[in-house]
Amino acid sequence: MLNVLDDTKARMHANSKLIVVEGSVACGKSQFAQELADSLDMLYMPDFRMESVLIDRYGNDMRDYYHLFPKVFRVPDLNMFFKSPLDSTSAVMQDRIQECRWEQYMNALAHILNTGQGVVLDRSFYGDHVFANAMRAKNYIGEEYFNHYYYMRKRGDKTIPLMPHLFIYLKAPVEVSLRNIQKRGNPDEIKTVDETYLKIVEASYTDALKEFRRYSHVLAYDWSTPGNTDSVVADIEKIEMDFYHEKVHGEVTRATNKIFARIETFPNVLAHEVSELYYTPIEAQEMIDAMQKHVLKSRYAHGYIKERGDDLMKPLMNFRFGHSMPEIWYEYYWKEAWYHDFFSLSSAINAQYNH
Amino acid sequence: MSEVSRISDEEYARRESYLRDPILPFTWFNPYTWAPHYRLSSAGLGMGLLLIYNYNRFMKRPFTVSLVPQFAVAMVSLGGVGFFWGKFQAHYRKLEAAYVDHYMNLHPEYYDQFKDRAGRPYSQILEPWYPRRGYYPKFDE
Repeated sequence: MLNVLDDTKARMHANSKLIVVEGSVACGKSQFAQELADSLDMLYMPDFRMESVLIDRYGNDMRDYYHLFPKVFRVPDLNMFFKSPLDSTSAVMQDRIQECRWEQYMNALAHILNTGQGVVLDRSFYGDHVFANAMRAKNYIGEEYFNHYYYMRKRGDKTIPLMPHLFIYLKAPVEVSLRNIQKRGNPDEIKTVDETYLKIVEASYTDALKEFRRYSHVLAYDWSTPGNTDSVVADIEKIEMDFYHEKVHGEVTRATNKIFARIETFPNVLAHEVSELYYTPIEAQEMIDAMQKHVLKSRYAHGYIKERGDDLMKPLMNFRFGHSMPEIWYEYYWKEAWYHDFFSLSSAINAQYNH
Repeated sequence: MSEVSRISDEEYARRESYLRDPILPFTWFNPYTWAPHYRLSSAGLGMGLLLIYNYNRFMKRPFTVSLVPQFAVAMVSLGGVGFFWGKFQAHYRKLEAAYVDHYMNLHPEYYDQFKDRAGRPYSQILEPWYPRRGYYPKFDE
């Protein structure tokens, strides 16, 4: 109720901006984004990694339990993906990354509106499709999932209320990216992220810049040798960024209510034809059983397990809409909140594990 | 009518006052002695508690989670429905009895049979019956 009195505009200042850094693989993008955030006194949000959702609040690493899960729930991290890119779980990984990037974008918007501090995003939902294109070109994901991906991208684009003020695109030639990947020395990555993959990424970015230009400023740099961040800051200062492009009029509240925006964007879209994403009710029940018996060791979900030190008196007064986590805010749905919403046909009558 | 089926006035009064809704003395432990609006609202509230229990169980969380707001909602919705339902029920029954009494006052001639509590013997109700027997054909004419 008191948020009526909370003046968002009062917090806004010249640097309350959203800057997205996109760019070729392994061209020193993360370091640049960090330096940029430091020099503009903004928050740096690193590139999304599967590790942020695979380890829960109790320190359980889901990857330790993959032998107990049905295959569709063994969501690979990048290293696992590099090891076996042709596996059907690559599509599941891409699906999770897409949703989490969307959520990260909404987190960034929420940070700006709640604190007034600007955000520098390292890769975003808007540039994620370049990897889907590359994975499709290498046949790492199927055609049905590829169509599904673009359908979800349209949905996500619809519910994002504010575009970034600025896209910074750092371009490095494919040879440079390849050389840097060689330097990293991961043999699986070298094998998976090859020249074709990187070329598709580059071409997709070139197309994507046209899309970015419709709503935002775009600065593109040749980053074959990492340049000077201060000169980029000088360029940014020349741009008039005090605009406020509201894509969907009157829907800015969606930025402060991520939970409902997420429900609106990523509902249970039927994916029966996407064999990589499909799972049977029996597999769902197997997954719930594995979570109860081996991972959480309780019939209750994250945040409600007395044996793990959760306070059960605290959520006595909770009244949540859209999710049933004990906290009012969660960073990523696919970290813990998914399990709160995850049911199978026999959820209500399952008495196999009563803690 | 034989005297066996006739009952005395005391016995009649006893039977009429035995296990009748408004006459049963109030006890805390028997909901059937409560006023209908209390009875139905507590039934609604009980149903609400069962709902909360099963909902929380289904949502993978303990019974205590968000119990207070859920209980408040159950009290207002289900308890409220039960309360007003009970009130309406009592009102409806009173009205129904008043209508019947009024009608009986208007047309007392329709209710003559109630004056004799013991009722009429079958001989007054049934017509005489003389069966034809195949054994005695000579009486058939």
